[in-house]
Amino acid sequence: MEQKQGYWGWLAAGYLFLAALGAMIVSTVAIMDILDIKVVSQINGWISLVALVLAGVGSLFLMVELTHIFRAYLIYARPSSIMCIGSYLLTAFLGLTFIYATFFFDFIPWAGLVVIRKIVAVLTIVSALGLVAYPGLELAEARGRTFWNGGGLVALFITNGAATGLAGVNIMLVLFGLGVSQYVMVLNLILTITLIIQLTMISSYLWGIKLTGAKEAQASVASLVTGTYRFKFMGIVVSIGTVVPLILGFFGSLPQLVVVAAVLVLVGGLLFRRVFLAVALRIVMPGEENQTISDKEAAQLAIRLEKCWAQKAGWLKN
Amino acid sequence: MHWGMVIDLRRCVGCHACTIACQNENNLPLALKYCKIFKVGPNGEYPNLTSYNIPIACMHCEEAPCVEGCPTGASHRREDGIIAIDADKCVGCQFCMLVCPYGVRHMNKEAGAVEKCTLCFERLEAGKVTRCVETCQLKARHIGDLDDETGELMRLIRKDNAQPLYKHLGTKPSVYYIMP
Amino acid sequence: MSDLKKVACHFCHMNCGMLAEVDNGVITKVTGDPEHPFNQGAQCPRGASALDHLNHPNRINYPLKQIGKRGAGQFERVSWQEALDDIAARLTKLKATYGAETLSSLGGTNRTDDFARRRFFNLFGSPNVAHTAPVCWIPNFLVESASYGWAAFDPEIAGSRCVIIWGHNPATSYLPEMRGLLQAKANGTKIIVIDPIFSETAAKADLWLAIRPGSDNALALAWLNVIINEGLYDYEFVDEWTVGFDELSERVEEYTPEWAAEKTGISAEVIAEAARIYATAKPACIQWGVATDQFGRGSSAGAQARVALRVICGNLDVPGGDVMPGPHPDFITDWEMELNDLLPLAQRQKQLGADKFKLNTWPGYQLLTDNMVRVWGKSIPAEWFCEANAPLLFRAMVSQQPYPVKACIVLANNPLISYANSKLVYQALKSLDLLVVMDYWMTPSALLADYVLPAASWLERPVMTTTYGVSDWLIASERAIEPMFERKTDADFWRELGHRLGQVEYWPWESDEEIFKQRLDPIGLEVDSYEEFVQYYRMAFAPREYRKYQERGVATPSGKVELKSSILEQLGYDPLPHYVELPFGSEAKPEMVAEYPLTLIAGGGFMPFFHSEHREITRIRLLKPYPRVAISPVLASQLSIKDKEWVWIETPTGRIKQQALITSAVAPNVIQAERGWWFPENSPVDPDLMGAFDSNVNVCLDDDPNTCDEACGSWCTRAVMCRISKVGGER
Repeated sequence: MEQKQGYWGWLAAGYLFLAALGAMIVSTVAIMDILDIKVVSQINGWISLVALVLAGVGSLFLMVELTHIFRAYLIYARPSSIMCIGSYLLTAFLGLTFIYATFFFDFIPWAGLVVIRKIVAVLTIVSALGLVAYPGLELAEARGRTFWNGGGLVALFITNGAATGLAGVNIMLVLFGLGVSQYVMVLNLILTITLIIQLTMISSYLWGIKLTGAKEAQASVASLVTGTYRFKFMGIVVSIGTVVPLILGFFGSLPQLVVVAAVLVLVGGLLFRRVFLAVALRIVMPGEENQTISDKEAAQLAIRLEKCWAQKAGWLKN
Repeated sequence: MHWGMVIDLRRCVGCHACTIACQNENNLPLALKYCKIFKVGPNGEYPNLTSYNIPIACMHCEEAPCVEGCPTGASHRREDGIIAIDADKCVGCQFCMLVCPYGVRHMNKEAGAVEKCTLCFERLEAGKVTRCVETCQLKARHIGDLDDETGELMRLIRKDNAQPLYKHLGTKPSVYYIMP
Repeated sequence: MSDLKKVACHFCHMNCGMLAEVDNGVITKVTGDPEHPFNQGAQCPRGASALDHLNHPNRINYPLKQIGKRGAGQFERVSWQEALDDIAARLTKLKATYGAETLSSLGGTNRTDDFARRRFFNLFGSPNVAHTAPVCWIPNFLVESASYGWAAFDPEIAGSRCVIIWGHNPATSYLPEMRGLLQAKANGTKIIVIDPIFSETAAKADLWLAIRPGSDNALALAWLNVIINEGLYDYEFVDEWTVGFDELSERVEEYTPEWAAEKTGISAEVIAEAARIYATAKPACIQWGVATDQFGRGSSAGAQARVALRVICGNLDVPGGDVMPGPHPDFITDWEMELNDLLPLAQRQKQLGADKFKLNTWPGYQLLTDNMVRVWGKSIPAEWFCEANAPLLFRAMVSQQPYPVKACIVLANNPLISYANSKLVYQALKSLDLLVVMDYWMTPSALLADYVLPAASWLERPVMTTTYGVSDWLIASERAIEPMFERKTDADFWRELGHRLGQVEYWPWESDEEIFKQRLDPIGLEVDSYEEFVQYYRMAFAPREYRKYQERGVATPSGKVELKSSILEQLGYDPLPHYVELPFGSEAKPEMVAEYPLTLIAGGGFMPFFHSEHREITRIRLLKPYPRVAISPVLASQLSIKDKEWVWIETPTGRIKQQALITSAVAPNVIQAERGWWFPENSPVDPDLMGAFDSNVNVCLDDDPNTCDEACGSWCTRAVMCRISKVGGER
């Protein structure tokens, strides 16, 4: 069934996940910086670098999928396309994050320029939010995949990105030995609230489609809730990736609990991107369901037949 | 000039001649089809049935999501209304395939570029009709100028109330169907 | 140097005109010829794949000799010289031992010049030439010929007010014809389709009569009943030009619409209404369809009823009606090329089937020929119209009764797949002392041959289209290139074999073109070569004349249209239309219904294949990779069969499997299996033979001569009791 979204798979999902993760990690610590929270000088440099690496690896995923990697620069060519805008945002974010990180290392000449650092922080946050938001707009351009046309997709992506970003920061705070600190306590609380918002938003997104959406969007929802993606979505994204860490959040901020919850949120976040990409069915063409053979099967059969004809040629003395 | 096509579904019998002729004309990989034909039905209960066939290829939309979405400019709309792909600019991001509501774009792995119906623009430029129009035994396909209000194509569209497929998506296709 | 050659496609009988671009002896492109009257520049998917066919790596390119056991798939390349010398020597020896009739031949549909085959056989002395003729047009044609002296096979659909498409699906088998039909419909012609399947053609009809499989005869008889009782027939024509109307009226009295409703599953009201539409829409025509030739017993009886319909409604040979072309007056027809007079009387009598199926063998053919020559000056060819009966021929190969048939030359035919009772055909072919197959491909049948010879396909040979030698027009096409590798045309093959068997004086030509040129000369055009004719004229249509009977008379013994056929009577058959139960239906064998509750339709053409051909063309194959059996959703849910699941199809004769195609196009108690299936990608070694028995529907069909049509020997492919079940485990 070519109706399924088989073009953007795990790599694209990985990119969306890592870019959002990196972006929201940096945003979190940059906000802390703007709010003059002391611990920032200790952690922000390294955390920003980690975020940079995460988003960088994500963009590598994107590159790997291209058929002509050496012309990848062409994706900057048409600024009116959302994907091109995304490329600008990604580039800006990577650059800004790197610059922002440099402010935290003493051997850098401008390390002490706090005001400039905060200006960069604001710019980084802006680019990060853009980076997390644009995929929602991008996917909404697929008019035939109405599952993505819901108005809440951008907000949902930002919310999930925020949850993964907070989880990421939490893990790193624990690694920095700050597991038992007010920072983790506060961030964990924000994470729990974010997860509640995420749960609400996912539910209302799906309900919204179920009530008013097009046929294929409803089929997508059914596939998430009761169909092919039931385990990945209901089991992992909703239960393990949202509800469980949410409940754990109520049990205080023991470092071990925080890490477990954070890891679950990350796993849920990755799966969330994956299933939301995969599940968006294209509007069905009239009679498409009667297709004799799928494109993939046809391609495999073609190879098999051609191989057979080649083998037979010798037997027939040709 | 705005090239468009009318496909008369009262005539199409789903023989797949256009599919195969197109594959040969464009030297496509064996399993890659620019034009597919779907059989609708039979719907109803024996013996009260209806059925028809519908060829589906690029609709050459005036507001083409593929063109809007292409980050490199590989997918573009020519002055004569044809949506074309400049293979040298395609990086293979497949975003156009994602956004095309008609599912008519294909990744040609051999070329590493996305491909689709070209409306045989080279043939049109040479004064010939498209290969699918030429090969149709049932004369179900018509090619012509949508800008020419008095032309054969517009006359057909008006006479038989031809409509684009899934008009509500708002992409303004240049391919019109006469429904059975 | 680029050349444009006017060629004709051989991928079905239509012979659409094509243009081949040739660059230094290599064909670079093949497109439809816009000037050709049939396809008008178009191509079907097969035609559009012409080059894939020409250049396929699995075409037979050289003579191959079987060196292992038959069916072991071991061949070596030999020269034509060696192959023909050996074949000639062995034929000479067999003829000396068993008589000339020991050599037989099986032919395919229209990829060959069969006048050459018959010429060879007449000279050799054997009457045992066969095609699948009895299940393809011949019962209808011959019954028509017996009734009005030729077949009215050229319906003028464009000028007709109502067209009956009877057991025919041109939307998958004759696309140019379908175009004409839809054009007519757009101009207001009423299209009535009679078919148990909601076919692609039925989907376009004004009225589809969803008839119970095989009950067509009952419908036709009831129409006659209605038309006669309601006085809707053409009084003037019936009075002036027919004999036997009173007997006909009396005969059809019992066949009321109510009676037919029970047989056909169509209500009496609809039957009567459809009859009225047909009878009152003048002119109207009945398009021939192959289904009605494939009922086995009763095929000819059904044809008699349709003959009567055409005649009494006054549609015979009128504009917009069923036009009867007759032979072309000038060019030399197939019949004239065959040299039938040279076959001794004693040999004619030995023709297998001559004592049983008399209309399609020498006894009937002689009667028809006498009448036709009187009126038209020419007869129909013996090829197709005067042949050995295939079911009897296979039995003679196996049992040597009534005499041994020890050799067979097969051209453009895959008998293992194309004839009913495939297991018997297999036995028969294996019993032979000499089997020669000339083909494009190594088919399952070719795998059993002693010699497999490479055949030139249509781009490599000239084609002269005359609709089996019975049309009053011809369309001539040239070859685009000389045959590639060592491929040859069949005329070349017969000539060269004839030369080795003492027939030199009868084969004076050097090439197919020379033969065709000679055949065209009487037209009186000044052309120096056949190719010149093709380039400048291409076709010769006799001037269209209607109601030819008024001037020429009718080519029957009475000189009138015989509603009660004296020829059939003389041959010992019922001269009037009558009802016959189909041999394998529930009506004939009610005791088997419990075990075989379903009805199998084993015929029907389907895109993109032609008969058993084209499975090797990859792109074509991808359109329809596996055989499908149409099953109603109602039946499928009863048997928990899902779409594309493999399903056993069983009759008392045999069992095959095909993939389920769940569709409302068939009635809940009917299935339609695709025919012609084998798998060129499968193992060639006996007993696999490239899957010759896996999905080939002919495995399930019986050809018992006692179940065949009484007059023409047609075997039954429609309305056969069967059952289906899910195949355990996946393939």
